[in-house]
Order: sequence, then structure tokens, then C-alpha cells
Amino acid sequence: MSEALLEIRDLHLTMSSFDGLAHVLNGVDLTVRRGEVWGVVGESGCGKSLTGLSISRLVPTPPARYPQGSIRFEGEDLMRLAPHRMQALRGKRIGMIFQDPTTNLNPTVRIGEQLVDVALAAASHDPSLLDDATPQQFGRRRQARDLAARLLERVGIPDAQARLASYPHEFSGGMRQRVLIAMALIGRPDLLIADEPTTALDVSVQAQILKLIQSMVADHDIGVILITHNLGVVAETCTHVAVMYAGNVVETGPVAAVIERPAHPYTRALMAAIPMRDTPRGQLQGLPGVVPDLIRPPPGCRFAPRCDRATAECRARFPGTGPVAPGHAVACYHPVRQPKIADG
Amino acid sequence: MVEPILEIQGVRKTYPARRSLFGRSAAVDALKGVSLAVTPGESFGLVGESGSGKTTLTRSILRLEAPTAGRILFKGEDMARLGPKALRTLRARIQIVFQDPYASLNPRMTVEEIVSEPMLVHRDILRLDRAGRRDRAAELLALVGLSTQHLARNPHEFSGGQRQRIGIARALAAGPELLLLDEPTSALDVSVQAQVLNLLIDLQDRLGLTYLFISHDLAVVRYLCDRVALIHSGVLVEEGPTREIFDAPQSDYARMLLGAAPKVRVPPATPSG
Amino acid sequence: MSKLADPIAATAAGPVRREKLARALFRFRQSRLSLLGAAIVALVLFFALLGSVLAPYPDDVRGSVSTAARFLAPSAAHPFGTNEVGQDVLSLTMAGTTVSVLAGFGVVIIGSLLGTLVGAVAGFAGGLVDEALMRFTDLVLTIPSLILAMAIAAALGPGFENMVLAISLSWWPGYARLVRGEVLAAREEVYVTAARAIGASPARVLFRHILPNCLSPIIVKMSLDMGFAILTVAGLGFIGIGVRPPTPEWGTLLSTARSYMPDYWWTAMAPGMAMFLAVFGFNLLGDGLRDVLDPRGRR
Repeated sequence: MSEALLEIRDLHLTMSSFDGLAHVLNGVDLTVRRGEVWGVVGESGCGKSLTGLSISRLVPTPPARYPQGSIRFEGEDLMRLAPHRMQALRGKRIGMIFQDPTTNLNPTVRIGEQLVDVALAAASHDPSLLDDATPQQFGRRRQARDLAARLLERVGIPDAQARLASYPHEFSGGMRQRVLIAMALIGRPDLLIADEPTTALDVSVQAQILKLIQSMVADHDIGVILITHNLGVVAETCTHVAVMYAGNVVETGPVAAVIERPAHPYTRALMAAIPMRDTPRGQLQGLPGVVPDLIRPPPGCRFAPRCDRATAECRARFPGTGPVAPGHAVACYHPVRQPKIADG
Repeated sequence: MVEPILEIQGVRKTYPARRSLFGRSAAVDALKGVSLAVTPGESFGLVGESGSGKTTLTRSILRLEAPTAGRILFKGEDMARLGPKALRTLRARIQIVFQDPYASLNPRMTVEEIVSEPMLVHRDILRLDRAGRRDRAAELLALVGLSTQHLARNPHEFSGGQRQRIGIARALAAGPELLLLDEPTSALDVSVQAQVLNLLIDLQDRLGLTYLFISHDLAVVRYLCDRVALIHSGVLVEEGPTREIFDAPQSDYARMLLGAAPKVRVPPATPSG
Repeated sequence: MSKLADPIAATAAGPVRREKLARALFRFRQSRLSLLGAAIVALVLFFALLGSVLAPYPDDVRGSVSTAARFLAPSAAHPFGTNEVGQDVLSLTMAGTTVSVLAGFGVVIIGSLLGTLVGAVAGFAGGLVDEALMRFTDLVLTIPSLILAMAIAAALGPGFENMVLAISLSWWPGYARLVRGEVLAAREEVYVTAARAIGASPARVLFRHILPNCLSPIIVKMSLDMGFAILTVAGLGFIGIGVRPPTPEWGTLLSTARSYMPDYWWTAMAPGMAMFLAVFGFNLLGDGLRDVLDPRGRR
């Protein structure tokens, strides 16, 4: 087994607010290797996005604090890295894509200029980025421009050289998301963090973007963290999945194992809430209740108040994470065990 | 055959070309002759991606915009021919639930004010005094699964799912017959979406409402709707009973949409224990 | 992270309004400068109410003259000295707060009411009405406000009410532009569409749904404007168009003091500092209020 690209161990994150101290992340563990696409799922407010932002150290401190835990990127502890080195890592080795492709591009600057700026910034940490195709005598800006055009082509934007002169508003939502992906890929990142990259897009565009991310993994052997609330997206795109609830990773494993044999009651409840091909009208199972108040979280398992399998043990102590199958782990005292289920 | 409650006949909407200092934008044909009919008591799904014209059609049905050509009939009456007073009466009978529960409730009003506003606006039809409106607001909240103690609160104190319930209560306040549901669950988590969908089904069974359900989420449409129409760049591409369209799509567009939607296989529910 | 608090707030019964106020105070207190501003404003308002009562030499405020005591340098008895007719400068300044603050309030309130009306109608009606109203607003804006106020005051004649009216008439365009922009933005909100779909009348949509959601920036601007309004009132007093002596007013006090500079510098000290403090305080308070009410406008 290859060495881990990213290793998050027992990560805790607190946020201070008017109401008190919120325990937003409560011991998150996650290991991503090259070639893996990890889907991080859960309801809103479960800490999915904050996990992603923590890896890039983009959570403002204060109000946030990391009392415990480590994030290792190829063995280097990001929590102890000096700010300027972290910045270099962000521009170059860790790429990020966010949900809204509109607000992450400057509307008054041409696409090409924005990509060139990122390319030059990335090249300031790794000059070899620009030397690949264009000979040096053309100057760095020209090289950066060529690199930008090549990346736009790679993310499937036709006539890339000409589109460099376009402004963001001349692109559709899907095209803008492609530009942002191109931007995230400029520094040839080893890890790509995509936070709900297709939520604002149409299904047809979504399918294309997800294919694009998969081909990036196949071609460059990168690791991907795909944060989403859509289990369908996870089932079709990811190799692995981590289910988060109220700041904990409650179930992890290969996609096939988790989706075919969900062991945590929360994962099962999430899946039961998706309308299926043969769900009879009115028979969809909602999950009652809301994600708990993270300032005064319930003791023990945080899902216990909404769980129909909860016992006194669940309410007293948080269950440790244990395997239910090779590579498939769950944090639950009463995991659901069952044979493989037929397709629905 | 039953008379349709809503009939759309060859509706076109063209946004005229605009000239400005920096050039001119071309005219946009948002709807290119759309016809469909919704029968009383059914759930009719209107599926389209962004830019398909579904929003323009919704706004035209609510008469927030006037179509360039074509007619929209509510119970056989042409809405364009109604006077201001008749139009206001009509508004009590067609209501809408919006996509974004965070934007569709006035942040400065309490839940009671929000839910009783339609009764206040249509007090000439509903004839409810202050106490009557209050009772009915409490009744509506109970109907959508909230409690009377929520009446005095402001929208920001509620979760997305609860806000959408408030939005549904407001839509029901004036006693409508037709409810436009404009992607009412696309901003919600799946767990909450399931609750809201079940609430909508329950309300339809109890109150005999007709739904025009606008969505891009095929799974949700299949779950809720009896009949479906697919709309693509202003044209109705395919229409028919839900099962037929999902099992045997006729148009390339329908096949493409069905193919692109991510699917997940799910184990059947087991008894807890 | 305020979203985290939503589920609890929705389930816990309790005095909602008080909690909202506590939250606002919490945010306000995050900034020391806004607290300082609030303290200064409180002090200014205190003197506006009680300045003439608390003045150490109330007779001087009423206009009594004592030539024997003219131009006394600052001392324990007269911390800011006496003026050319032997009146205590501190007493006059304290009493002058009333006129300045009252006039400032008057200007801001009349100006914001006028401006809100014009801006709301323009933004809501759109089309020709909007064009006409906004071009007229721009026209008023092109005339320097102090000169416009001077012209109006000269035409109306001297006196407190006329001065307030004159400044207000040059003050409203700022509000008109602000409110028009806010109304245009609020008009597109989904809850406004919801109100229209219900069948609410245009008046109801404007007054119940649009305007209440435009209030925050208006209040912030009013607070920021208070300082400048006080300054303009003093400016008119300085030129001699404002309140006439013997009613003490900061601008008039400064104007008289100017003739005796620099030998009797203390006559200008107290009114000048009072003006500086009032403007400074209202501006800090306005910035603080903006942080609480209108977080979008930060920095």
C-alpha cells in the first residue's frame, strides 16, 4: 500500500461565538492516498466544509482554535507550518474548488489574466512549471499564458487560446466551474479539495465536471476530497466515502462497501431519505430532528438523540471507531450487520 | 374528460433586444410556444435545467409577467382578461412555494405576520377578523408540523426545513386550489427533503390540492408527480405519465437527462433492533 | 457561525427580543472605538438636555454682562476663561449644546424623511418617475450644500426653524440616492415576489416588505450624518446666518472668538473642542452601528 498523501488524525476544532464555545470538529480521522477520490458526506452543519478548509488552513483563527490533532501532508505537519510555507503549499500542491463559480472569479478581470496570475504565483515556488512547453526566451508572462491555455483545453473549454480574453460573465456556470478547476490544477496539485463543486450546476454539466475530476485522478495520480451532500454523486464518482455527523467521521470505507452495506444508522437514514426508482408515494423515510447544538452537544454518541437503535451505552460514551469489514470502519455500538443487498 | 384547472396555450415570451452605450444584446426567446394542461387533483412535474424557461413560465402563471403571445387559462378563464379586482381574487387561488427558504421569508416579520398576511390581503374573501386570523395561523402551523409557540418568532431562528414549512403554511393561508412548487426542496438536505416531500403528499391528500411541481431533480419528480413535462430552451420536449417517461423516454433530451442524473442503489429498510 | 445557534433558538422558549438585543450589544462591544463613540454621544446628549441648568454661571447663559471680568484667562473659577463681555466660556459652550444637537437632529430627521420618500418612490416606481426624481436629486447635489443652505436661509430669514429647514433642504439628496439603491435591491428579493404573488397592494409591498428592510443603512447614515449636521449648523452660525445671540450656539461663539485671536485664544477653545468631540463621537457611533446593523458595509 502506498504512503498516505494526507493524514488527518484526531482533529479537533472549536469556534467561539456569542453563545459559547462550539465543538465543530470532534476528533476527525481521514487518510487519503494517491489515486483515491474520497467523498465526504453529511447534512449541513456537520463539519464537512470546515474539514476541507482546515486542510488548507483557511479557517480564521480566532474565532477558530485547534486544541488537538494533526494534519500531515506527505508526512509534514500542516498545523506547525509557517504561514508563508503554507501559502506556497496552497498555491501549488493543494488545489481547492468551491461551490459557487460566480463569486470566486473577479468579474472585472479577463479569465486569462486571472489564470496567468495564479500560474506566475505557482511558478514563483516551482519555476519548472512554466518551462515545459514554451522556450524560456518568450518571457515568463507568455509562458504562463500558454500554460493557462493548455489547462483550459484540458478541462474541456474549446478554443481555449481565444477564450483567455473573455470575462467571467461571458461564460456559463459550468464553464466558470471549469475555469476554476483549471485554476486549481495550474500548480499541478497532488491533492484536490472540491467543496460541493457541482451543487449549483445542472445535472448534465455536473456529469461532465465529475468525469473531468475522475480523469484528473487517472492521468495524474492525485488524491481528491469531494465534499458533497449528494450520495448519488459519491456513488458514481468516488472510490471511498467518509460520512460525517456533527463533527465526527462516523463511517468510512470503500464506496461499494458503504453504499451496499451501510453499517452506521446515520448512513442508513441518509440513504433511506433518497427517493428511489420504486419508492412508493408517501413512503420516503425522512430523518426527524436536526443536527445537535454543537455548543452543548449530547454526551456520548452525538447521533443518539435521533437514532432508533440508541441505548444507554450510546448516550453515555462516544463509541470508538472499529472495523466491520476490511477497510470499512464505523463508530457505533450497534452497527447494522446484514448480507449484501440486491440492487434497488 | 375533466376540465383542466390550468391550461397553457401556445405561450411565448420574448425579452426584447436592449440597446445600451456599450452595444446591444439580442432578443431572447425564453418560451417558444408552450402548451400544457394540468387537471385538478394531480401533481404535474415540470422538469428543466437552468435557462430552459421554467422560471419564466412560473412567473407568467402567477401573472408577475405577461406572455408575449398565447393564453393562460385558470378554470377556463383567460388570466390576461381579468381586471385588477378579479386578478387579486385569483391570486388567492394560485399560490407558490419558493426554492430558497432563506430568501423567501421577510426577515423583519414574525411567523404569525408572515402566515396571516395572505388572510389580511384577502380579508374581503376570507372574512376573518384579527382573532380569526390568529386561530387560522395556528391551525396552519399545526398542519405543516410546527407549533403555536413558533408564532412570535422571526424566520432567522428556524432551520431550512422549518422555514420551508412556514413558506408552505403561507401558501395555504388563502385556501388555494393550485400550488406552484418551485424547486421547494433543492436547497434542503436529503433528510429534510424527505420530510417536506411527505408533508406535501399528505397535504395534497387531505386538502385535494393540485400541484405544479417545478424541478430539475428527476428522482424527486418521479417520487411525487403523476405526470411530467420536460422543457428545454423554451420548448416542451416530452410530456406524459411519469412512469412512461422514466421507463421509456422518447426524446434524446430526456434520455440525456436520465443518463446524467447520479443514481444510488439503496438497501431496503430493516426493522430496528 | 451564527447558523449553529439556530436550532437551539428555535426550540428554546424565551424572550426573543431581549436575546436579539444582547446579541447586538455583544457585537457592538467587540469594538472599543464604538463604545467610546457611544460614551461621547451620551455625554453630548446629556449636556444637550441639562447644559444650561448645569452651567456654573447660569446668568451668563441668559445674557448677563460683566465688563469687569472680560477676557479673563483660564483659571479655577473659569476653566476656559471669559469672553469679550465677561461671560464664562464653559457655561456658554455647555448651554450651546442644546441648540447644536437639536438643530442636528432636526436636520437629519427632516432630511432623511424627505430623502427616503423621494428615493423610495423613485426606486419603487421606476421608469419616468425614477428618471425625473433622480435627475432633480442630482441637480440639487450639484449645488454645494452650504451655499444652498445659505441661500435658502437668507431667503427665509434668520431663526432656528428656518436654519434647520434650510439645511434639511440641502441635505436630503444623499438619503434619496441611498434609499433608491436599497429599494432597487430589496425589490428583487424573493420575499417581495412572494408578497406580490399573494396579491398584496403596491403600497403594502413598499411599506411592509421593502422599506423595513432598508432601515439599517438609513439609521447608520443618520448617525454618521449627525456630526456633519452639527458642523453645518455651526458653519451657518459662524457666517452669521444661524441662531442670533444671545442664544448660545457653538458656531456663533467661534465666530465671535475669531476676532480676538490669537491674544484671547481661550475664547475659541471650549466651543471648538465641543464641536470636535460631538462630530467624533457621532462618527464612531455610526461606524459601530454599521457593524451591528449592516455587516455587509464593513470596511
